[in-house]
Amino acid sequence: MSWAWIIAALPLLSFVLIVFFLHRSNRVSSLFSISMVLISFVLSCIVLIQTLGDPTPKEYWIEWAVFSKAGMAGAEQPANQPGGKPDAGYEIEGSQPPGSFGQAVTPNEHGAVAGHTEGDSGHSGKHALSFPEPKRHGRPGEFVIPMGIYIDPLTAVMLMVVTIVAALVQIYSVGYMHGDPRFARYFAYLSLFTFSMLGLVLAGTYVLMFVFWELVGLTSYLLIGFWFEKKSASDAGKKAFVTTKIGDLGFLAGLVILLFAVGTASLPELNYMIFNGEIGGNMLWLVGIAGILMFAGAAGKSAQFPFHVWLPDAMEGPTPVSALIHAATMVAAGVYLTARMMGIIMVTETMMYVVASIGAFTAFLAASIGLVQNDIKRVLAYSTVSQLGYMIMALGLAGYTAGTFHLMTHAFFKALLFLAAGSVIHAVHSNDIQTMGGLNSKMKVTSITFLIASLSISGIFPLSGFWSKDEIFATAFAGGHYFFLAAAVLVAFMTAFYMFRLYFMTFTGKPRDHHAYEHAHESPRSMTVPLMILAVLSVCAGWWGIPWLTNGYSSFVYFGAVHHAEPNIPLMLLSFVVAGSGIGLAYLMYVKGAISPARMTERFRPIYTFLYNKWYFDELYMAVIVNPTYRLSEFLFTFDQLVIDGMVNGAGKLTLALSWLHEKFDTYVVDGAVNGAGYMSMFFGRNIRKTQTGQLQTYALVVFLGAVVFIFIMLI
Amino acid sequence: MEPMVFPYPILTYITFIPLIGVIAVLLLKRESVGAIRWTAALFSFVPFVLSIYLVWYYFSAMGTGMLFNIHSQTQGFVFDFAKPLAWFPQVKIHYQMGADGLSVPMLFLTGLLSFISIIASFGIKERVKEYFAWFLLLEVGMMGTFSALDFFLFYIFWEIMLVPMYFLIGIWGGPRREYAAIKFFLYTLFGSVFMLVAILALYFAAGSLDMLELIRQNVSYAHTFQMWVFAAFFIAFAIKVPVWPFHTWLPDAHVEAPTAVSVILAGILLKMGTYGMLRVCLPMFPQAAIAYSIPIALLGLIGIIYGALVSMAQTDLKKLVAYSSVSHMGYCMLGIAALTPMAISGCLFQMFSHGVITGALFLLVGVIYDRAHTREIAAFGGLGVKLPVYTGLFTLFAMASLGLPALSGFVSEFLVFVGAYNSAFVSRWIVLVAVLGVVLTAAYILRMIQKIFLGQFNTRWDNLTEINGREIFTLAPLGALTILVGVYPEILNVFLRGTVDNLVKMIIP
Repeated sequence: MSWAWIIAALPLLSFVLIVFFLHRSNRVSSLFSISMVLISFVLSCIVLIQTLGDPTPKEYWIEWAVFSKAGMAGAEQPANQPGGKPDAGYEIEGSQPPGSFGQAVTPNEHGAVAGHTEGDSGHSGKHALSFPEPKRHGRPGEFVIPMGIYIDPLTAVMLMVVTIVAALVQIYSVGYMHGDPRFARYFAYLSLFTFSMLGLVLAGTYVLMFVFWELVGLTSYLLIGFWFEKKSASDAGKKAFVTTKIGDLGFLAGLVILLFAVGTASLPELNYMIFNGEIGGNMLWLVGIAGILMFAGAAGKSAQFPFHVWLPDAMEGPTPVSALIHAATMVAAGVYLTARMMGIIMVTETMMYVVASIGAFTAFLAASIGLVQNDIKRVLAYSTVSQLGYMIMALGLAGYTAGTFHLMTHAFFKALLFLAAGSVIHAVHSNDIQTMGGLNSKMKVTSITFLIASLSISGIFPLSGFWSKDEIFATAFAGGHYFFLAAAVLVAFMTAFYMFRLYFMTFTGKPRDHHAYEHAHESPRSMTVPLMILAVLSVCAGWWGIPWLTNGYSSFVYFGAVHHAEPNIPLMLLSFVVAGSGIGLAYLMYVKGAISPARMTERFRPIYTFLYNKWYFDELYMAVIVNPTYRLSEFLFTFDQLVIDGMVNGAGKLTLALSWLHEKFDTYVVDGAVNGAGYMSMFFGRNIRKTQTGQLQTYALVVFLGAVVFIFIMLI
Repeated sequence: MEPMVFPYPILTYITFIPLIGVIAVLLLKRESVGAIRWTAALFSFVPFVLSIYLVWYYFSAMGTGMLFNIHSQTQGFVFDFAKPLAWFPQVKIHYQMGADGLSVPMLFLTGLLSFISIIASFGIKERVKEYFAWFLLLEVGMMGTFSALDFFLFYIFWEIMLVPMYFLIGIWGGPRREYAAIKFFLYTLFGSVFMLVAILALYFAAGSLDMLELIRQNVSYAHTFQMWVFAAFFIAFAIKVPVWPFHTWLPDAHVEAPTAVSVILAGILLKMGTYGMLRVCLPMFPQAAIAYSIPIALLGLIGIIYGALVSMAQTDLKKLVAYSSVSHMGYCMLGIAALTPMAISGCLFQMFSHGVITGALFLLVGVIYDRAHTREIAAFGGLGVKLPVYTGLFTLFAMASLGLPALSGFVSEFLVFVGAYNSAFVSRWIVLVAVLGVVLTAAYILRMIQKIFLGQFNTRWDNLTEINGREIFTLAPLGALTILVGVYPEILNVFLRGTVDNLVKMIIP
């Protein structure tokens, strides 16, 4: 499958061609862009089919940069350094002492068979994590930075998800963006976005992942701020870029440390080295540090606490872009990276708890904010943050299968929710659900597809969301993490509630704004067809992961070892009941009016205000980070001008002052001496002249006196 | 082993063809502006073509395997002459030119940027003849500095650069041009004094002015001697880079200088400083290089963070780019301090890519200044609607400047970070703090983009015209290089690897 890079290259081609040649014609631009992504989709299908047939990972490499290792501190370290006791969450069979993760185990002795692991935080029983021997990049004396693509089942699944969602979003955009003055450019950006994400998915090393990671950041900056005439849009783009960039600092620093510690950033090589004990104790500890830092990058992109603030603002972008960002690209990138980092996460138990806790907390935080928002897109945005928290939590609990499975199902129903919301906004020209209502009679397709997606995200049997959410519950339950399970259940309840609050307020009841209602109409075919396709996927995609299937998702996408959870009927029932009661509560409040929302708001006013203002995170960051940075920058500039440049100018002035002094010295002392000498000679000349009288008698007298003196001296 | 020699003294040609150009321009009539322009363009185009040939020749020379042979005494150089030509044999002054992996990319960059700058100067209206004469003389100095292998020669070229620069800023500059020109001249001259003293000290200690000979003898210099002479050279070079706290001449010079001069100043002249450190300080005084490693890294770190923060406070577009240079050259210093092949390669990558990117940014600033006659960031707004091509180009180079991957700025930053983290001499914490610079850079670059190009269109700029063909012509090669090096760094690295290895082995045997 060495041709798989073409999947990413096609959207890039469409970007380049639109920017340079096609942009004059809107029609050609959009058609070309859509056809490229559709070809990518077909190719992704081929990759998926081939991978299903032969799931062994494939890797293809080129050498991107090669350096000598001379004089490097890390150069002398032996690869196998026994010792050290990292906080290992997993241990390796064959090196029995617990926690001795860094035991020297040469790959030759054990071959490609990795150690067996016993999950003390993990699942029942033992299962082996085995990784086929990857290509080794190290060479003695040389530091090689390779670049390449890596295709394993997760790659194949993600390629599918990204190309499907991207294709549908592009098709939908033809209708949604109709008449926009920068229509062609919009498609160029979408293509670049798709390219970046596909590149990220294909990337075989963390370095290459970082490259595409930043490109994803750039393109989302461009798309969020697409309507840049609006200050709020350009602000939101900037906020997204800078906030995620702060997380990316962690990614970059982690990468630097990782390259120092193990000398490779290749995904398969790193996993292989970790699970074959090729990394010494101290270095393994460093890998754990690197992992935490890199996770900061993932948290930034996936809008996890404390980086969650950018995502709701990103709603300023066109709605199809939001769908793409929320379903398949930007925020999925963070979860994807976390999944890719599974091996590093597993190095330390602390790391796993950090990841899981951040995920759980974010899930709760975002869901709590989502309860009270009135902007249709914002509610969806918070629901994304919350669902991403779910996935991150699952990954932190070593639920590789559960996390990635939810990523996939979520991609479909969240894309659907956003596109349906876009259809509503397109119809009523408003984002505020308080002005909507009763739209289900006017917008049949939108209403029904939105309902399907809401049921799916709430986790109603037998839609996709039910199966993936159940997988997460099962992971938490099987690992004995009851606290996380409780959090997940609570969030599931909140999710069902706010989703149906949104649904009921938008589509049912009486219209609140009659003017908008009169003008509302169903969207054009190019917009509703993608909705219908996504609705089908929102229902069916999850069936791949039905636990009774022997050959389902969990036996295809797994980390090191198949982990087939036993179907847990009571847990499923719990999940169903929780979702149902959330919906029921929303029904009581917003349809029946049995509980007055206004009265609730009044009773819990402080909590409501706190939630409505998003826990005041924006204000906090403004006061603690943004403003002090600006103030520091102003201060340093003043310092630069007054002190540093002041010294330079001072030195100049001092030189001038000295030269003034010199000038005076020169005038009065040096030149004074010269003039003085002249003056003296004049003085003497003037006075001595007086002796030259010209009278012979005087001269004779002087001669006589001189002779007398002379004789007198001689005599003595 | 015989030293490798060019088939004809190409470096001498590259250096002195612009000098012929100076004479040619001076012979033309003052009024024939067109002829002067095209003559100048021709005489800078020829060295550019020759520099491409140089790149090709050096590449094939590396392929022969002779260059980095372990028996080679020539340290990867290809020379103009098999033996240094006697010039003033009584005082052991010789004439020799040579190029290695450090100078080949720089010579190419000088050729390219000089040609581009001369094309970009076609808009100069007053005293055209003198302008182009000075400009070509400047190119002589730059080319000579990068190819001279005798200290006397090196010093002459180094000083030659000052004079044209002084006049170019002082005559064709902005309102405070005289202050800026004098400041630049005196500041650099102040550094040159240290260099002269250091050269004399070396001459009396080692009895030679042949730079390669002096490097070969590096083991024989006493530790204290190394420390003092290193420091003297370092000050001279640090002023040119400029390393914090010697940087304050830079914003003044940039703000006052005409566009093309800013391009040369940022693109080439700053690199002279880092080039000097790599050519002189590190290989000649290895013990001192190791001993000074942490102080230099700290200066680099301060430069990175401080430069970025001060950029954030700027209201003048050109000054912002100028301060960003301080920040970006800080990465070079970190790379030099680290003394690992990867970090030094990162420094060289940064020299190259900063030259390309910042050169392009100054060109872009010039484009808007020519039309709007202001560089106040706050005066603009929403230009993205009116000038889409200009906005696209500006965004490309701004993103390159903030280190976006797949563009060349990222490669250099990444290599410096990884290389410096692997260093045995630089504290790892310095590297981790330096990473902060990346986000500060992103902050001020995005802020600038937002204030100029995004937001509501300011109708004051209704009759602003889009970037023209000549301007795009000057920017296109720079854009192509930025992307090329960013996507496939081996294309540049292949020139650096052998030389950088050699350099590191000289320091840490």
